[in-house]
Amino acid sequence: MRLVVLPVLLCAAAVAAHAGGIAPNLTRNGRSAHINYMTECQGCHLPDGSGQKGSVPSMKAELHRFLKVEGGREFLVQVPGSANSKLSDADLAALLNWLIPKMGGIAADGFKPYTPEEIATYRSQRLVDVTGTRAALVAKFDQPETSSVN
Amino acid sequence: MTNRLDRIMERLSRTAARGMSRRSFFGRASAFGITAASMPLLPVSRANAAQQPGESGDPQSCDYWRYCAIDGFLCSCCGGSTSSCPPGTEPSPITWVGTCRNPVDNKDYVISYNDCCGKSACGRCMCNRNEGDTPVHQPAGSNDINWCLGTEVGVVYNCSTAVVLGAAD
Repeated sequence: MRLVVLPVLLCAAAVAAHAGGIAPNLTRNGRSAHINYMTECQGCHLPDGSGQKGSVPSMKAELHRFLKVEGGREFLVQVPGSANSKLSDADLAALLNWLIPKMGGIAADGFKPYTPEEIATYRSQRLVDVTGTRAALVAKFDQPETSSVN
Repeated sequence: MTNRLDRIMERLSRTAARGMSRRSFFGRASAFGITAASMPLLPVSRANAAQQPGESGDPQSCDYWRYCAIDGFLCSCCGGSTSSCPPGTEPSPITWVGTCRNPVDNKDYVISYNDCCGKSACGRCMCNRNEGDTPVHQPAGSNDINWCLGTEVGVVYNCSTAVVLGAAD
């Protein structure tokens, strides 16, 4: 029996490695996604996600657009506010899965929730040109952005 | 002319006095007064009051619980309060947010340290406790940033507030 299980486990490990291979940090800080939003994001993005014209882009009813273009799902994790936050991969996944339906203009069942494994993989790929990457994604939107950073 | 006006007023007053008892007026006036005064005592739900934690300590003292992560002059000593700016200054719309433990119920609360801006530094009650303060490369938790950057009145820093946003659970 053991001889059968071992290859299965090895196979599963190989699949995991192929899918990204980054072990996620699953530590939880014990706080709800909303409280983590308050302490990590709200200071600049404001309680309703509307941001600050000229310096902090609005997330309100805008985030869903990123999910519709290639590379956008990764960008929402790799953007410095997400990637550099003090949140673990598990807490960041919970926060994004709360935030996107709450402020992003899309229903909770309208997008695939992030998993901690996915967060770990995207987070390990550092964005070098943040504004350039963002501008390239925004250019792929169906309709122009309603608010802009610049 | 004056006599005629006097006569009209006299007639009106006498008619009113005949038809109205003074006691009924005082009765109604005091009933109205008592009702108006007791309205706020009714047990209706007050959203803001419900969120506010129990309080102990002196908001003009640096060891007051809400100031666990503050870095600046206390607005309570500068003509404002823990949640309002002194006259003539504008609260920063962007801010940094931390948590402090309330000694009354031993729970953590989310505190927003909005700066007040537009007048030169207050200079009273400097308080720099820095619990949970992060380096500036993690700006959401850093108190070393001049958060007046987001205001209309400019970047001149006056003092800091400590607004309770809610329980951190």
